[in-house]
Amino acid sequence: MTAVLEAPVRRGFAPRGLVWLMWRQRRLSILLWPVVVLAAAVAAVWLHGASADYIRNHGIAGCAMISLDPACQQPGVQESVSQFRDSYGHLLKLAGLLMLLLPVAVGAGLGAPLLAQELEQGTWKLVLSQSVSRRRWVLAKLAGVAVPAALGSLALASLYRWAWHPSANDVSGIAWSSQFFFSTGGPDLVATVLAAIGVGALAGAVLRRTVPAMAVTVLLVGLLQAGLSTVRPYLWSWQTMRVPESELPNSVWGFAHGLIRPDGTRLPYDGCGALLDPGQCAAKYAGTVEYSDVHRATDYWPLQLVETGICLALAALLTAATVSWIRRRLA
Amino acid sequence: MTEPRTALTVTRLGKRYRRGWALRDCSFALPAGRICALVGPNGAGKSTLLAMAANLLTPSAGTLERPDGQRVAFVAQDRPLYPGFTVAESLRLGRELNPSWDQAAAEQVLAAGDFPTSARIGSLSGGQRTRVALALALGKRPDLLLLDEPMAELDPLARRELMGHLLGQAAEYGTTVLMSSHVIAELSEACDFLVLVADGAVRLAGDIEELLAAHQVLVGPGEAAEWLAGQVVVERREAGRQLTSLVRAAGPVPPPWQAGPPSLEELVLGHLRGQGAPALLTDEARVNEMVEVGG
Amino acid sequence: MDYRIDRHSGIATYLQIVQQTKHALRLGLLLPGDKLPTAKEVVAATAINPNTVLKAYRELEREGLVAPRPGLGTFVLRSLAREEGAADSPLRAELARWAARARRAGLGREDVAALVASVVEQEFAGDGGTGGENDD
Repeated sequence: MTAVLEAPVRRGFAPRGLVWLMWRQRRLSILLWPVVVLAAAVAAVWLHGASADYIRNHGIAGCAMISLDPACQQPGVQESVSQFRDSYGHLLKLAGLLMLLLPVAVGAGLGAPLLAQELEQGTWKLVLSQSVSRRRWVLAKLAGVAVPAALGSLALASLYRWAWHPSANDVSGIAWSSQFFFSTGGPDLVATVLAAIGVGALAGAVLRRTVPAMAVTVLLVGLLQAGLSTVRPYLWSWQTMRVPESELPNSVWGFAHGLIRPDGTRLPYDGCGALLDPGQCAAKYAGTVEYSDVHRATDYWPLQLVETGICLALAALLTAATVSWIRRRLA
Repeated sequence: MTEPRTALTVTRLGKRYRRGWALRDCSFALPAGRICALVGPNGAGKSTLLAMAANLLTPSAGTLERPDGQRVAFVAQDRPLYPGFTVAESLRLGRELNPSWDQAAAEQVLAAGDFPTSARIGSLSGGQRTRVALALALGKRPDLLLLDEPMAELDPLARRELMGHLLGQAAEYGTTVLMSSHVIAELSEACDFLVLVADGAVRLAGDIEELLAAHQVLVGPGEAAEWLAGQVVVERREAGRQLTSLVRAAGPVPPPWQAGPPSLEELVLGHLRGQGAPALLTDEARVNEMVEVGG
Repeated sequence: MDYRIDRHSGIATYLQIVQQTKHALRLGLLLPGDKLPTAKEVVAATAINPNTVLKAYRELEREGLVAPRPGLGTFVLRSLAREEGAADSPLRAELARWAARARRAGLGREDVAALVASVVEQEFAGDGGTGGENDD
């Protein structure tokens, strides 16, 4: 009559209530994070060490392919930099590309099935038939994915930043403003991952089917990342330098270029159409100089934090929308 | 603790899906402590009604009232359980998510099952899953137990044993049970209350004995049909010269009619075949609709 | 006490419980002070409605055969067994001897039962009883 049902629970970690359910349901995906982070750490230790050694041995610290610094104009430097970029720099870029795909992968792989699978298999009815409110359930589910993902992506971003550091900006050619580093080596990555989970969860709740929800998530998170990289330079005040693009220092991010009249009127490079006669054209460009709109390296943190804030706000908004959808629109 | 008089009051309840109304203008009251059969043809709206009572579906119209603090357990027709969980883990889900959890009550349901608690839900048969789902529902120690086709996938032995266990629990704790089925025979001994829905509306509701007593099965010659005109005729069937009719006779039945009490099955089938008679709700089952206007 | 419910007998379920209880009282299987099974036990064994069991017990209580003791259960107040019907009574012994003779004479179980029934019918004809319901 009294069967012993209790599987022995490991001491030390005994989650209760919804936390237990989330752990039981998602333990594989939760345990995947430390595995991935560990693998990334091994790779980062190697890449950091190898890059630093190479740069020290070849005396190319702070040198890009073309640098104004006389130390970088020694014979062989350009060749060494080029060789670095083809080897370690290439790996760094590849790692950056993988990191860039992280939000899409997490959003579609973990976010989209989160609710879609429960709705598809009818198991939402099981959980909501217990003494659990819809709001608490959805929040617990989101937290079960978001907390490990936030910690994991924070670790990955830190590792990437550390591996990038020896060859930062110049030697690797991956500037602080490059998509490969800006979106992957700072808190922005964590925030984008969280927003992607929100996109996936809402898509899953609305579409109620896992595969379509995954497809929509890939599309929307891709659009989000593209949109962010388009508006990025305008998220913090910038400067205009009367310097052509080619003459900008390596540490400066020039994101818009053109010609400027003495009165401040800006003209695009290709302003002289075929319809204008040469005389008119010459008059139009009289006294103009080339300019660049730029962010200096000190703008990295303000830009990074504003973008992080935007993504976190989006994640919060998507969370609220998902909770509201499950509470009001489900059935 | 004062026992709430009514476990569930449904007032002008309706649910509309894209394809139309699944349930419409449905009103009845279920007194506490009754074992109620929810009967009707497939697609009559039984599952919709149960899911709304379980708070899993939002009504499109009307209201559902339950006493404050009432604990409700629901076993849905598809017996949703996580296929990757073991039986023991499924019970643990109930324990972790319900403050009122009664592990012993849940384990008693499993005791007669022919599967170990270490078995994965995905490896169980339909009947075995039903047992686990019932264990989860009874472990919650509900005041109102909602069961959608509870016996559908069980073999006769398990059916008898589980129904007995269920009713025993209900007897011990005064649980109100509302269970749907389209097999009337299996409900006639277990239930003392009936709600019959057809085409999305309530046709009969009330104490089964009272409902049975309100009807007669009449058998007589076809020429005597004239007398039926003054009665509430639920259904009439002619076979040759003989006429059989289920009626709600107002007074004594005159010869040549032979009157007899209907069985539950005759009562239900008569109301499903004959659509003419108005809905009948006993006093206990009637809702004062003046309280609720519109939806 | 083990109730057996015949779903096809046409006799109301609560009456079956009443009759089977009386039968047990008559045969001395239930004696004063004995506890009837709880409604829960009956229901669990027979899968019938709990209120049906309670109705049957109320009927037995009304007839003064049993009484509920709150929190303890329902207990038998008096027996319906007659000394003449007890297992060691002379009447029973006589009938047992007769049954053995009938068997030796080649009668089967059904032949004997039919013979007894017809004699009982003849003997009690005109009493108007419903087969032992008038035991009081």
